[in-house]
Amino acid sequence: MSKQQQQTQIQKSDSSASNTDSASSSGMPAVTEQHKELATSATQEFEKANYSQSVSYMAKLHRQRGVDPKVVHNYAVAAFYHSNQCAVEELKNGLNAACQMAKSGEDPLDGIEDVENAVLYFNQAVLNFYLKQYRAALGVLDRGFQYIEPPALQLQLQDEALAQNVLLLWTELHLCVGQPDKALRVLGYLEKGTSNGKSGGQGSGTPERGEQGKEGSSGTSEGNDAIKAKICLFKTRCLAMMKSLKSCKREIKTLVSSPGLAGTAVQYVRAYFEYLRGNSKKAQKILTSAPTTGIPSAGQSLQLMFHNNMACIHLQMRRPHTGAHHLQRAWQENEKAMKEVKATSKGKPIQYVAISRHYELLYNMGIQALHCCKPSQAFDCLVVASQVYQVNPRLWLRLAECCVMHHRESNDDDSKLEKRQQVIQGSVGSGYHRKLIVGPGTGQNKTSNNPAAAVPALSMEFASMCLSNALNLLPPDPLDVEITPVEDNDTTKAAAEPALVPAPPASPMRPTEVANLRCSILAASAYVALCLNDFRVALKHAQNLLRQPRLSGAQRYVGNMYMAEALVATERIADAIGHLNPDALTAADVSTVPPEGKADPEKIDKNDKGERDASDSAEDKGALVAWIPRDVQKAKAFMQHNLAVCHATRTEYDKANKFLTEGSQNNGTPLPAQMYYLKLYLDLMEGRRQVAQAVIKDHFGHVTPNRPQSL
Amino acid sequence: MALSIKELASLLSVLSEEGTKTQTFEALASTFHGYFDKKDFFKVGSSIVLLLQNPDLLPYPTQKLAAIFLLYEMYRSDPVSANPFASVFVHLLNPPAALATEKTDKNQVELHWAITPISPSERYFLSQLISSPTKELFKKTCSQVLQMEVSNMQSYDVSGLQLTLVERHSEMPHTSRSAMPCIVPDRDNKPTSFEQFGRPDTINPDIQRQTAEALLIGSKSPLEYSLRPEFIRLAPPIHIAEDEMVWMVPSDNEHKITWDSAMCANSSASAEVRRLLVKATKGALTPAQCNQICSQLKSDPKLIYHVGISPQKLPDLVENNPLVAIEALLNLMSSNQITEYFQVLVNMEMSLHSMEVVNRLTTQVDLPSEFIHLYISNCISTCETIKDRYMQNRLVRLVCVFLQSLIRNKTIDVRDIFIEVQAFCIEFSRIREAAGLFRLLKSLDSDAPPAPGQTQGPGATR
Repeated sequence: MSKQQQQTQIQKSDSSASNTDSASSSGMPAVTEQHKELATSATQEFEKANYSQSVSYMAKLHRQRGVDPKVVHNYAVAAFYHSNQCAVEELKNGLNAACQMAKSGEDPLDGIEDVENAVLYFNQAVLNFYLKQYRAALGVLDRGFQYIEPPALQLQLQDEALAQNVLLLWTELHLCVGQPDKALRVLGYLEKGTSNGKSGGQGSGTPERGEQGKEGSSGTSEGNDAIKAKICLFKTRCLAMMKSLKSCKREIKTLVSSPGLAGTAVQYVRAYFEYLRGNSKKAQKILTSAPTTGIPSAGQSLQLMFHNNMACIHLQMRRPHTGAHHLQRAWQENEKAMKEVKATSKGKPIQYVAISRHYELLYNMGIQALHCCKPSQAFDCLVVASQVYQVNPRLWLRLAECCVMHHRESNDDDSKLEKRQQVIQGSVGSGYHRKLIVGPGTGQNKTSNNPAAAVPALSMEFASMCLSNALNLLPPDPLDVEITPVEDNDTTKAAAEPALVPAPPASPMRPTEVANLRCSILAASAYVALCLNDFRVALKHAQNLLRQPRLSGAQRYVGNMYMAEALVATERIADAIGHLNPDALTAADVSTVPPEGKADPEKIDKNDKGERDASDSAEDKGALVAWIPRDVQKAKAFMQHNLAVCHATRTEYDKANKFLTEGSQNNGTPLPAQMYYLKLYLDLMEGRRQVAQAVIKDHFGHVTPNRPQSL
Repeated sequence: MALSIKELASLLSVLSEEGTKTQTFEALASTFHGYFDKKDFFKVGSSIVLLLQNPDLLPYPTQKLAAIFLLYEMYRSDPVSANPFASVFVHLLNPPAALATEKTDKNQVELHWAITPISPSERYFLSQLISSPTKELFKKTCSQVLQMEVSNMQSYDVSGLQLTLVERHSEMPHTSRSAMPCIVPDRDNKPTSFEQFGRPDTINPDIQRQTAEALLIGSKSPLEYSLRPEFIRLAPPIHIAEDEMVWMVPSDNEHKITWDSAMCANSSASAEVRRLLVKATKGALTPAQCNQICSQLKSDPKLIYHVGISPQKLPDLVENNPLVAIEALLNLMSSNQITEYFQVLVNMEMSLHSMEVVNRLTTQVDLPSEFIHLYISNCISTCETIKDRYMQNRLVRLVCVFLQSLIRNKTIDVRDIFIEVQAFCIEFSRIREAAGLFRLLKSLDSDAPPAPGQTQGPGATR
């Protein structure tokens, strides 16, 4: 017997060794009176926050019952509190050891061990929560409670407070990973549970209730109110995240009137709601008037959040530079918060281990910088963020947009002086041998032989990879789903229930947002493929883009232009010409705003129209980064030029000349370099050397001493 | 693609005025092969084409002819149609229409990309070269060829060959066919030195060489580029997204690492009950175990909420241990989820046990009448749809007894379900119990039917 005990002192779950003297069926030594006394003392000391005492009792108990998962567990918990919640690593090890023992020792009767080990699972999830391992935490809960349907969780756990805490944690975790729909479901159970507890379970003093520890002491009506307020707050956040603005508004009303809540959180959620509705000014007002003191919960910097959110609002108000400034402040606050922790404690208490919002801020800064037209700065931020938020398709698109913007700052680039100057490279020789070198072109085809596309760089190759990532992360295109014959009910069910697509660290995207995103990704993909001389791929993307139902006017316009270019490159000039119809262009074709879908009833809230700030009307919804062509005339000019190119390629020089003339008239000066090229090309091709000379003399006079001979 | 200085020097020496004047084609070829390998041929050929396009760089007719000959010579072992420079031959044999009128309208048309048309004797030579060259041909010199009188000589028919070449050319993509050289002559008519006064068209050998070097040497040689129509390629608009940035909300939820208070506790009564209940959903318990559960549940009415009996688990419990199920349901009557349990009970497969449970419940608590009606309809339709004749008879008997008991106990008001039950009895009249039930119905019906609103007993109002 004594030998046996010595063996079990070693913290090992060798259940076969201890089986011989076990009284219970689970292979555990029987609980003696001495064990019980130790356990009670340890519990009492723990509840009195005498952690060192508690630890010493637990150490004794642990020596005698080293194979009991609950003892191992509580020993770790007591030691953790004794270390001022700093010994995170030790706690992790202790919990893991307990978890392994619990797994091996129990009968696999469904549900039973889940209930027995509820606290253990909860603690593991809490630990992961503070380490920002949200998915790991969710995994622990999902696996730990797999046999208990969440609604039954409260039926299963005697400790109502624990059940509540589990559900609250579960909700918050779902919110953290951007699954508001799942969070709402959990909240539903929680709500049911609380109303249940109120009607049936008030003041029922079961003998176990007394021993439940200090967490279980919130059974009063006050506690109930607090829980209800918490549920309400969570619900509001879920609804806001899902953009169910009407229901969200209703929830906010109850939220504001409900007692027992920290005001700051409520104000921040309200501001978020107004921000989502596009009431930037109101959002700003709420945010600035929210109480700024009193950190809501350890490890969170309110200043950081304030500046971050102000940055969001400023971007919405089309002031990205001010926004960027706020993000700088937020960044400083983050650094400060991290430094403060180091100064105040020996180690880092668990709440402070992962307080840095580094990656979220980098992500926001990247988005902001892109809208400030600083692609390389944005790229640097987003590349780092993409290592953490790999599943966000929009983030990959933004990275590609950085590359594109770096490569072509604006569509006006072609008419810049430096581009025009390159039309004639210069001259060679002199006198009788003098020659002009007409520049080879704008060099938009980057035939760089850079095979390392996976290396993050502001290159078209990397952009191409980003875009294929983005496209692969999107759910299957509904257009393709419908084409395949409906096999069974599953597919229709999936179609009927539009899922939210995660876009961490931001809120998930609704189906309409995904549809818009898909259009943008396809347009960018077609463009990048053209730049890489990948014409068949470009053709595929452009075709796909043009069949999308939710593409904006501008996207349809560029889609047709890309189609034409790719078709010419693949020897289908007649088809290409069919895509270029400059006379049919309307103002709608230069609009970058995605069509206002009927699928967006939540947004059209008639009663709210009056509340909206005048400056935030729909006209301002267009892209922050101005897109060229801005008007139909310019759009026509570009299209006429491209049409002229099609004809010129087919040696239909008269038609080409006609469209080029129209195009250059519509464009006005300065002309893009391509138009000069085409003009020279056509004149030289047909031998109008003197006309060409006139063009050269007029526009590039420095390269030639010769005046055109009078014609 | 571009040549090195040495290569250019070699090429120019092969094509020098003196050399081309005196040497036979054979000799030219052998000097050329002395300088260049097969791998160089394409770039040398391209350079030769560039020289041909710029007559000031190959000013003498012999040079031009020698250059044309070299384009042939390099790929002599292959059929002419496979010669990459075959299109030059086509071009020379069929000069662009615009050039034909060159003489008359000089100012109008000036094709910088074309090669100056060849003379009839050159034409004769070229045709012979590409169709049926003889050994004697190579023994001639350029000057001899140029001085040939060809007007009355029979010309070689190269139309078939030309057709092949034109066809091959047309197979090339439009985009590559549309390119033109980017070197445009821009002769400066002002003199650059004293010697040149009044002689603007004079060739200056130094400048000629410099120009050729500038055009043909170096990585950025204009030889490598061409001019072609170019699309304006617009970058797509930046994606517009809402709610793209992270909005931060402070959280006041403190999730605390929690002490497990169940450490070293005796397996409490509830744990035992929970364990038994799990067993009870899997198989019949012993009477002693049943009693244990029932007494525990009776002594602690709150216990039922904590032992994990969810609506989903109810059917198994009913099937295996109806007595326990009844006790559990009785305890759950005050729960706000009781309707969910009823729902499950109504919809579960009909059996002796489920009927027993419902029957017992009706005697002990007030069940909602819709629930009972739903249950009866369910029973009847199960009887009607079941395929197995034996099972059907058994179930019908059960239902009849169940209904009789309900009616006798006045749990239900017969009139609510009269028609349904009557039809049921008639359908199964072959079964004795059904006939009995029918008689019971009739007797109730013939009794003074109570006036509407005045119900038969307390059960009917439920």
